[in-house]
Amino acid sequence: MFKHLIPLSALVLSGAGLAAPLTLTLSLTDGAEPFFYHRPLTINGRDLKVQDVRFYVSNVALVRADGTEVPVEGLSLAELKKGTPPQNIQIFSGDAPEGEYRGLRFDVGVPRELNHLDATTAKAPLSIEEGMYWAWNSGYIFFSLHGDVGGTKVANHIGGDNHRVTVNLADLQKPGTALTVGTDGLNVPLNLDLQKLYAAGTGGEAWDFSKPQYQQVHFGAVADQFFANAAGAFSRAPAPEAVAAPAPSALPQVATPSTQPMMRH
Amino acid sequence: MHLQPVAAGLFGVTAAALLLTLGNLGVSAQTADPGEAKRAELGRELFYAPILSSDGQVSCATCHQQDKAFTDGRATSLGAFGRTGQRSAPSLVNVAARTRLFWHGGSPSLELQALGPLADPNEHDFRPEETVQTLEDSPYYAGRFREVFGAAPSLSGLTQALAAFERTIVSYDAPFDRYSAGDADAMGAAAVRGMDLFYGQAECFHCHTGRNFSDNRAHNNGFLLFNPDIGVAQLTDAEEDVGKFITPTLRNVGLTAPYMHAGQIGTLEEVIDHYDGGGQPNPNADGLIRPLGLSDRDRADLLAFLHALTDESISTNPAWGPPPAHKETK
Repeated sequence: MFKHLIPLSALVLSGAGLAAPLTLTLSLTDGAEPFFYHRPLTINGRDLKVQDVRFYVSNVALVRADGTEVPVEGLSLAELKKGTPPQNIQIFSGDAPEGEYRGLRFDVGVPRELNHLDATTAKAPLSIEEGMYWAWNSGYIFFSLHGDVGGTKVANHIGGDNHRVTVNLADLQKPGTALTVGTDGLNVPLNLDLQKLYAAGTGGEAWDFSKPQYQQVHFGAVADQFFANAAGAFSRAPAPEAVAAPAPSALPQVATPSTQPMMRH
Repeated sequence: MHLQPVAAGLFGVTAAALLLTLGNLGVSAQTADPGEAKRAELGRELFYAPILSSDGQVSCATCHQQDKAFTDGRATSLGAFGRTGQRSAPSLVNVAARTRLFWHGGSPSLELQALGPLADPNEHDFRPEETVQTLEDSPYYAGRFREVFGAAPSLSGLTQALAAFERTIVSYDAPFDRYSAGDADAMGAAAVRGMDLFYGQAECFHCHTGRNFSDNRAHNNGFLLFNPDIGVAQLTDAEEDVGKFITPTLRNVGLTAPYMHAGQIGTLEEVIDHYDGGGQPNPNADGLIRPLGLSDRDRADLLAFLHALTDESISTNPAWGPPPAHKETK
């Protein structure tokens, strides 16, 4: 589920080809395995029950072979939470020119120019009521994970202009990240490895959920480490398996999502 | 910035401009409607009209008194025939910005919300048809509805008028606002320290956020484990929502004692103590309700900041007071 800020509209793209839909879908993983909410993540010997993972997606850009970027307009709030599937959730959709690319980049966060406006009157997904806003100075919570460890509530947040996570899924030297946006558009499946979010604690210690500073994370050294961990937690995923899918001809690489994105508000 | 300069400029400006047009329409699109001022004028009269109650004594202003930032100074309010309900009257200041009204957040609009207290046996205690009949029986109000709506009194007109008046109760001129706008002398040193605590160690800002110091969301703040008032769970039937209530605004909080959804705390000092102590044990309590380790000076500074949220004009602006007496009484 995701919420989109900007209505999809025809784009003025500097002499580029026709615009086609570009969507991003996300699956949560626990290391190499698919993640399921009923199975706690084991982090440094402690079980973390994940309730929800929410983050803003912005500054999406396709990367051309020469390293230049084609921005894909839009900002959305990705929402994955207990009670909904943890795999193949659409988190972004926009219009991109058809063509060959070497990958894509996006930010986990809210662009600086939107990050300090009045959230009280902003519309979804930047409305204050999304629970993703801190204050004018710090702006929005860019990434949020809620859960509990042994009954103690966990809120691990990333925010602040110096903590906008740039996810780079393009490689200019190897062909493995190549993307083709065809006339029908393209869906790019992504993984978020929740283990990698907790790959390291501060100062060389492991992430320790028994300590309060690892339970409620907003600012400071643990938040800095969480930010660093998050940047490496996203990856390109193979296209979803053809399990129980429609006719093989409809299957993607290049596919239009079979359902309209679920947009609230 | 990793985008090309031109592309970055295009994207940034476009996105910001879109947000300005989409997002900042103002708290209510209806304020742009030329009929809004007329409805608000009628709404002000109706807000102060005790005829809209079964005992003829209760008006909106009974529980929403201007000198108390539109609260009533009571833990739970006095309605028709002296009855009381379960919850404390919330402030109406900047209420137009709220999209989840009532303590449980169940009403999306002021128009819909107004029907609640009008019909509640512990408040106005008036059945909808009685309300309309009373207005029709009053030559003055029947005439005023025709002037404003071109039609006889109706529930829809009544709630539109009340909502229009409530939307006029707007205040962004507290010392905090002047300080934020650049007047460094508007808040004293203690209040400034308190503000830093508010947005830091005291963790208040997670829920009391934005211009109105409320995220308009429901939280359990570690109170009354065995309270018969189950809050948001009343609407959702969800166990995790028991004891959750919508975050109230902190604007003019120095004028709105007693505090919390049932008025269970008398003073701001005690409110600060409640949060500093980590609240009462409650499985639904928000994760941020935990001991804060504030010093005596921290608590005093926090209090100074809370008082800097009071806009004195709220109590004195005649535009929100009782309307001039109309010539013809019912």
